[in-house]
Amino acid sequence: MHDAPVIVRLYGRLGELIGPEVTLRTAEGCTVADVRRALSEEYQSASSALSASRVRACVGESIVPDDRRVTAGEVVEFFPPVSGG
Amino acid sequence: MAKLVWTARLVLESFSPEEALAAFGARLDGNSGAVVTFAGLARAQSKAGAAIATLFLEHHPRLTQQSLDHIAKAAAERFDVTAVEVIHRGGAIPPGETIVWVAAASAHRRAAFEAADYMMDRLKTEAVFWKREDGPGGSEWIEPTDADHRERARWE
Repeated sequence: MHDAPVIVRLYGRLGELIGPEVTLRTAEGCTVADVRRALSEEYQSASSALSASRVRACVGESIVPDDRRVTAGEVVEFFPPVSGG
Repeated sequence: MAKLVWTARLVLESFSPEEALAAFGARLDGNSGAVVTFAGLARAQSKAGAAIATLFLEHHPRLTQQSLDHIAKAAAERFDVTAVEVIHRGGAIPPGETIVWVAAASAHRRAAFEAADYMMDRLKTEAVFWKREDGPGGSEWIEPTDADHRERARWE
C-alpha cells in the first residue's frame, strides 16, 4: 500500500473552515469515508461540520456514497446543504 | 409544434426582472394566455433580525447550472406550459437586488401558477448554491429550513 494524492474541494461553510481546495495523501484504494476521516483529523475545527450526514460527497458530476472508492488523482468535493432562491 | 420551452441561466451580475420579462414575452407564441413571474429579492435583515449588508451566493463551476437546467426542464415536462425560465444570480448581492427570477407561461393560468411555484420550491432546496449573510455582526451560512423542505415535499 502506498500513499496516493487526492484533491479535495470544499464549498460553503466547509470551504471557509478548511479552504477551497486541499490535497490529501491517503492510502490507495481508500473510500470517500476515509477521505472524510482524514480531513476531519487534519482540520479538527471542521470535523463536526464534515461529519454531518447532510454533507454530501461528489465525484465528477455525481453525488457518491461514502463507500465509493477514490482513485489517485480524482477530485472529491464535499457539499454542505445547498439552498437557492 | 416542437416543444423547446425551458431556459435556465446563472448570472453573476445584477440583472433586471423587467428586461427578463420583456425577453420572455417576446419569445411566447400565440398560444400563451397566462404569464406568471416571481422575483426573490435580497433582504436587509436576517430572520433573526440582524442587519445584512450583502448576501453571498457561492456557486459550483459545473453543478449549479446543471441544477438550474434540471429544475426548469422538470417544470416544463410536468406542467402544461408553453415556456418556463429561471434566472439565478450568484456572487455578492446587496439588499433590494434580485436573487432569482422565474417565469412560466401557459394557455390557461393554473399551469403557469403551479410551474412557477414548483420551480421556486425546488430552487430553495436543490439549486446548488451556498448562501451566506454578511453583516456588521458577522457572517452566517444559511441552509434550507424545515419549511423549505415541507414546501418541496408538496410536489412529490
